[in-house]
Amino acid sequence: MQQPVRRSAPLTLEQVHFSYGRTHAVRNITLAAEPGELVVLVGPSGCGKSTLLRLVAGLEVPDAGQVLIDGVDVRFLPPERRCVGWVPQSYALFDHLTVAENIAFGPRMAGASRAARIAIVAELLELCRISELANRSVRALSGGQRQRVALARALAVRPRVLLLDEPLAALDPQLRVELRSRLAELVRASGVTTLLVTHDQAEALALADRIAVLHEGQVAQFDTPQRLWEQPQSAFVARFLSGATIVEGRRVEGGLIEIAPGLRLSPTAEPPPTLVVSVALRPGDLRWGTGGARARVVRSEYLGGRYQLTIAVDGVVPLLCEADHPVPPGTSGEVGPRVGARATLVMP
Amino acid sequence: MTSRHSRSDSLVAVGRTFAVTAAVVCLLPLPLLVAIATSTSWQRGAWAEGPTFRWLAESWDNFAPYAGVSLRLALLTLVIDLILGLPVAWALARRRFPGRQALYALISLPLAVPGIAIALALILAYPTWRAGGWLLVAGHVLYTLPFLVGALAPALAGADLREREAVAATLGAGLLRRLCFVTLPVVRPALLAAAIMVVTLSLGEFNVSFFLFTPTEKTLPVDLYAAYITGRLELAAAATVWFLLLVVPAAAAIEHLGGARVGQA
Repeated sequence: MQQPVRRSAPLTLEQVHFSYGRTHAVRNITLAAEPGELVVLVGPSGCGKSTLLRLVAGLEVPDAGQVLIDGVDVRFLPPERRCVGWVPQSYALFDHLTVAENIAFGPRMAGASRAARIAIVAELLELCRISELANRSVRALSGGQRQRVALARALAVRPRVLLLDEPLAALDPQLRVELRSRLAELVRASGVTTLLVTHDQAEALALADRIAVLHEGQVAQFDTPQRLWEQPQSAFVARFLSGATIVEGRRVEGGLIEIAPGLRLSPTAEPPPTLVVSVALRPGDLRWGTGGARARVVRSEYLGGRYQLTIAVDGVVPLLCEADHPVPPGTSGEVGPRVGARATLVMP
Repeated sequence: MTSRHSRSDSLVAVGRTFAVTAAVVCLLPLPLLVAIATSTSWQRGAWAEGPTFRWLAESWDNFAPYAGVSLRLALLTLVIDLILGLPVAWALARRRFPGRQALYALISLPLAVPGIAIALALILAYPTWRAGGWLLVAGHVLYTLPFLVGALAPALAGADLREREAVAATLGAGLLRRLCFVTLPVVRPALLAAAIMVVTLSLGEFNVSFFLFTPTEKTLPVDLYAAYITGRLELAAAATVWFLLLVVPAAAAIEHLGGARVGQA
């Protein structure tokens, strides 16, 4: 019954629209994932990212638009006939079964023989490095172990598309970073086209082949992590991904961008032919006391080894800059760009 | 900290005293009942002529047929409750439809209505059903259904359960197999507890039964009542002992299942 070769398939969403009652959860979303690609959906809570996974899994039916797996519209196929692996945030393990029985659930539903089930369970236990847990009750597992059991269970049906909803959110913060790279390795090793949902931009940048930033049910930008970082197309994307402050800059001589008198940076890209451009300044882009614009410290926060200052510069919104020694609020001084810092232009 | 500790300690002590007192008051009649049932004549004193099993033996002949009626009635009530109650509990737990709250209130209504009122209403509404004992069944169903639905609906409504069913669906399980392999194992303790509750409630029900019984369909509690009113005290006590031996194990099973469920959560 089970095919030995994984059938990784392209996934395409075309103008998908979905609403819960009068709330528009997903509005006109178009996305495409290549076979084997890991696409991360990131956005603040309520942006529709989990709903999008449920639409692909078949747990919700879109009001309009198409969901194409391998080029076939699956909009009206029930979840049990889509061959899509879905791992919800809670993992939703079957508490009354052992680890091995959880993993064997999908193959059992597909009518796989006992021998085939044993083989596939062994393979996935190995892949997810949980072989020693095979006969344990899932109730006795740690968060990280539960995550891997859920993943193995989803992969056991040889899904064409894998959907992971906040797979790291239920873990302790320290463990989260540690398991992040292992999760990416595992998903890439399985070779399945994957949509992963997170609200954590650092996680998105670290994991993704491509990132779709969602905002109020729409795709704000869909690009590689590097391009999203260097060429944000909207203030929202820049703010959300890097905590940047959006300021106005003026084109001045030498191809530089001036934020305030004395504060000039070279841009990341060729600026548009307008006089005023929109610039995303990240917390680490400016340094205290490096010469440049006159500024006054409003607030100071210790970040461990360095300080983050909120500063007021005449004619500009409050900015963030870094200092490696404490500077009490009320101090006046000068602020300039960190060595190598550039002005990230926000251009649609 | 210390003062709060000592206050909660004293609260526990008060609670324990109440619990022990209540238990003694409730359980005291039981040994007394056994003493009456095994004495030749209670008027002459407990075991005045040594313990006897005469009353227990005599009452068994009387007890057995009514126990049969009561058990049959309880099981029939359970079957009808499940047929009616499972879909209702499912709808209440899973569907959002206009009038859902009203339906819930309607289902729970018999809890607030005295058994006598239910019985009289049934007699007035369906006089012809009484002959075959069907009115008795209807009365018991009305009386027990709210308990079944009330125990099952919350178990079925759990977000965890619904998410597991969704996962099972993506793993290739259709509706029927989701019910068998995911839903049933999760709600089984609640379902078992509800079923045993329905059976024990039906076995012990008196108000409705007293009004609706027929000469051929007379339940145990009604017979017990008759025994106390018309017969010897010792015989009635012996019948009560038999009755308790039938019902108490079922009640203990509920306790056990309920405890197991709380422990898992």
